[in-house]
Amino acid sequence: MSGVLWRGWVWLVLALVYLPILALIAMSFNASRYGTFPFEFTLRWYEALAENRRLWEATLRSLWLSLAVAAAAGAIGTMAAVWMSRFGRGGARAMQGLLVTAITVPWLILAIAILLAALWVGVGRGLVTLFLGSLVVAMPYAALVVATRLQGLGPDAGLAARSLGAGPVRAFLLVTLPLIARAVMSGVMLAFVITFNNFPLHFFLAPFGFNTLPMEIYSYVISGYVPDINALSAIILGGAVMLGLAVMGWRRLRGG
Amino acid sequence: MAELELDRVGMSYGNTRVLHDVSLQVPDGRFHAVVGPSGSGKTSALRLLAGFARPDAGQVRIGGHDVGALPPERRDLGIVFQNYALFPHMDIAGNVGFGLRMRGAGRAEIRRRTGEMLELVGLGGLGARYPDELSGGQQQRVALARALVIRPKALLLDEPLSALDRKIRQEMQLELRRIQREAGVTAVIVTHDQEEALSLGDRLTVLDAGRVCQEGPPFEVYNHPASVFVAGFLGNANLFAGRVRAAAEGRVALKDAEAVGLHLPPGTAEGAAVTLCIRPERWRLAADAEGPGLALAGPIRHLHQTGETGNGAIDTPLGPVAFTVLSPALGDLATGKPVTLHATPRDIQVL
Repeated sequence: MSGVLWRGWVWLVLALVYLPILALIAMSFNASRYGTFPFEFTLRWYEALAENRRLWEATLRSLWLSLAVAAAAGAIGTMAAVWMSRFGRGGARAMQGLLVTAITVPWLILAIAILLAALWVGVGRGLVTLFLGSLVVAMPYAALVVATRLQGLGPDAGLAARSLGAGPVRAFLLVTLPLIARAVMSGVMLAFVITFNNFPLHFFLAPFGFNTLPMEIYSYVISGYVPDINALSAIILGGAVMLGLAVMGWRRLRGG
Repeated sequence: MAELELDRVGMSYGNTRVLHDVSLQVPDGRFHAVVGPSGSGKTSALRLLAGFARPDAGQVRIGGHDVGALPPERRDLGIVFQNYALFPHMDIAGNVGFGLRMRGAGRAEIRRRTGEMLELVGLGGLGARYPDELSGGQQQRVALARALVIRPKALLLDEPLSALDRKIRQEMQLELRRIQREAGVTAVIVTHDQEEALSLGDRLTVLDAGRVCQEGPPFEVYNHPASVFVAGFLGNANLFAGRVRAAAEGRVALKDAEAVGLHLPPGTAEGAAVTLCIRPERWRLAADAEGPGLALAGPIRHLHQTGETGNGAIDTPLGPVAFTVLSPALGDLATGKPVTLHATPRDIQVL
């Protein structure tokens, strides 16, 4: 009996998560501009999307920004995690506490705080501010993921490499890094997704005229929704699913 | 090859002092066991030798040179970790050859020496496997080969056998001894397993709470423990509290018995509190209490045979007393039957 209940519960949760997404994909193929029934198949919105340079440019901007931030967050987050791991259990816990606290600050408040700080040092809105702000938000996630892995790994493999004659840098590159590579990749992807989605931060920090995708979609929503966005969302979703599958395949290849 | 030395070292983690004034000297080519309960500081001592930690006081010397300022990669030591710390992303040959690679050896030399070393530890031909495809005992051998192939000045072993099951552990003890002799390398093993320490080391250091309790050849330490702690930690011991009644006659009064003719430590005064230590295997089953020493009588509390030996205990006014005898001596003993245990003065250690 409880087994049936549990299964029902799991399906309910899955439905809540995926039904809206499936509906969105369905609507991207529906001829009705307002998402009304009966369903009539069309590729018109995809054609419209191909012509919609504003949306494409915003998508590219978002991609570049997210990629740059993700790469930087992966590198700096990994360094921070390695640094944290040197302070033993107590120190690492203190640093993790700080990072978790940073994560819990609402993005809206963080965005305003960063904007104030940027204005205060005289740079204001701009690409640099947007990049650094996004980095501040995304880096703790990457650092936490890598730090958790390092904690699980323990120091012995690195120390073994040291005792065998590898200096600290070589020991890290040849032994520790390959063993935490998966966590670093997870951290990079997390940073990418967080940056891609971070509307409040983009809204406050992006220079005028530099609309990221979430900002562009928002401006459509307030000025007049176009179904092109459904098509674009479906494409992005497809890309995300492919990426997820690729990562899973990669893990399997590496014996994960 | 070189001698290893800790000279009156002290060490702390934060505010916790883990080593107090610890000295350790391992001559060239010898096998030294450091034994103690967990938290005794034995692993910290090893970390100091390895260069993973720095002492707050005292000196660490390898081959007579102070290595305090040398990082681990420049100490030329082979270290076997408790969990082996093999590199899971490299095959066995890659693991074993790592140290040679770091030393800039050529590919042909790495292949030759790696192969030789895998032969020495009995893993010839397994170079292309990965660590997770090997059994615990095999991983242990890989760790040993990896540490030895660089021809280290000394070998440091941190509880190397604790993850193996009993039978393989005993096999590996012999192996370890053989390989260490063949390589002629100075070795320090850190262990909490007293049997391992007794059977492996040329010498033994017992640590407790960050201090050296006793140091010496294994069986001297076993037979002549310097303290109640050492007596209880190395092997089993029956400990009886008593008071010296007549020093000249070696007469010690226990709660409900008296021992006569004991060899008291020089200078023991009358009325001094002492502890008698009698190993279970020192007892003889006696018909009657005869001659000097200590005799205790009582019914057998329990008895069990473990193959060649039989272990048991009798109930006495001093509490249960454990004894060990060879199986044939058990004869027609049975639980509840009264017997007398006798130990001669030679069998009794006065602490």
